[in-house]
Amino acid sequence: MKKILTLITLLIFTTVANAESRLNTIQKNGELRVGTTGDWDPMSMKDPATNKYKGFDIDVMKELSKDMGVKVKFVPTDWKTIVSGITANRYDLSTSVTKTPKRAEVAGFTETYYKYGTVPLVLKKNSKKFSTWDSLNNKGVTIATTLGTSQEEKAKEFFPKSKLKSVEAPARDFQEVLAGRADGNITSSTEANKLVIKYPQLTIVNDGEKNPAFLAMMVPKGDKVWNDYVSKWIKDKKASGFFNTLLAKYNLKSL
Amino acid sequence: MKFIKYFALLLLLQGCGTDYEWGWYILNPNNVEGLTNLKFLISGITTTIYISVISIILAMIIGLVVALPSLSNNKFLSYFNIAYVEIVRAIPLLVLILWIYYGLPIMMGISFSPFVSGIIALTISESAFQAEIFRAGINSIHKGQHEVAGSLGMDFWKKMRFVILPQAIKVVLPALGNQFVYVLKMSSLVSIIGIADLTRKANELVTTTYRPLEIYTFLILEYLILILLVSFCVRRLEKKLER
Repeated sequence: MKKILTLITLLIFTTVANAESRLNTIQKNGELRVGTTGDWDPMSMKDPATNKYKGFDIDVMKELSKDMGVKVKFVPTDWKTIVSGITANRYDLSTSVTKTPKRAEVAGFTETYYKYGTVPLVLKKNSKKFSTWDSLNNKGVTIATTLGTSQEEKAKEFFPKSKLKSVEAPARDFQEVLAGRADGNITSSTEANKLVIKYPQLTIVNDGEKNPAFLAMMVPKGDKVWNDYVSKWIKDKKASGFFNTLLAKYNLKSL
Repeated sequence: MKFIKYFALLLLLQGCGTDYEWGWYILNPNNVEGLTNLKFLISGITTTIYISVISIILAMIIGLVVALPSLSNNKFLSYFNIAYVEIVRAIPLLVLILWIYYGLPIMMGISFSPFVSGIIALTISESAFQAEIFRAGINSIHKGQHEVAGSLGMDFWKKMRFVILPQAIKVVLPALGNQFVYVLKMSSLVSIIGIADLTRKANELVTTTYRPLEIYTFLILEYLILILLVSFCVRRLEKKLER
């Protein structure tokens, strides 16, 4: 009986400890743990020369930790498990992800600080056949998507008539287009511009950007103290022009 | 025979005939960028080797411990062996890795580092296969030897240590080598929880170069060289034990 009682008290105490805001634990440990995938150009990537993370979001996190007066520690994660890392307390917040309703079910979003549009990519030799968004929404057209990305959810909405083909990272949707197994894929305007330079056989369908998407960091759902803290920091930094300088550094334009 | 050769050549040429332009410059050691990229890719090799070697050694110990009860006449012990092997063998490795890394902190508040989580998952998964190999190896030694050793007054442990296991090791060595190769390849799955092994390094480099085909081809070569080395060592060991 005594044992059971101790066990119960122990359980209660651990839940109480869990209810404590991450803001406290970060300040106590002097370390901000940031989950990042390292596979999103130019937000978060690995520099082959130094084996360290670099990118827009990495700079944002370094600034945040500097202002908090704590060290920053980047925890590598993956798109499929980036949300699990938040719920399993592997890190205190993630680098930016696209806000989606599904992610919002299990994680909290901070104030947003970047917007981008979505464009379709097709092979250059097919650019006459697929010159509009509508032309890609047809029976017999295959659209490639990457599993777990926000584009996968959007592709279902944009192309209800087409066949969707989902590949799993590290395989990528654009490789399916290159290999001729899919007619097109959709991606952020930021990535599309880089891809057409690397692969001259690809081209952007020139029919406007769709679906302005909002980027924000993910924090544990329900930790209002921590979320408010980061959101306020983002607002202050926007006002001070920090984000504009950073956008210019990475040659980015927010919509 | 000639026909087959020409046919294969034709297939190959067709494969090269697409308008894909290889971008091997990203891995060319003669320019600075290529050399940096190469070094970055190869730097994952120590992690891959550490994880695989530690896992296979732990799995061998656990495998042997799990295999021994199967030889006992005690029903409870042999059921333990069957239950362990059947259950562990049925869990996909990827699921086990994710469960240990993301599941344990939520369910029990136990939080292992990615490296330790990866080793635990690989070890558990591999130990079931090792147990079966050891069981088969021990069973392959003639029953008469058990009896003779017993009549010499040896107890179970002495019998195992001096008579059965030294012979069984020779029998199972090729199978163990096989499993080592398997673990080396399966260790690529730990990249999903952020361990910087060969595969993770390749995934990270793809992001900045946008050249997955070249990088994954190089990754195949890296694993190929590693595994050929292991095979070579196992064969040498086999020959040595034969003498």
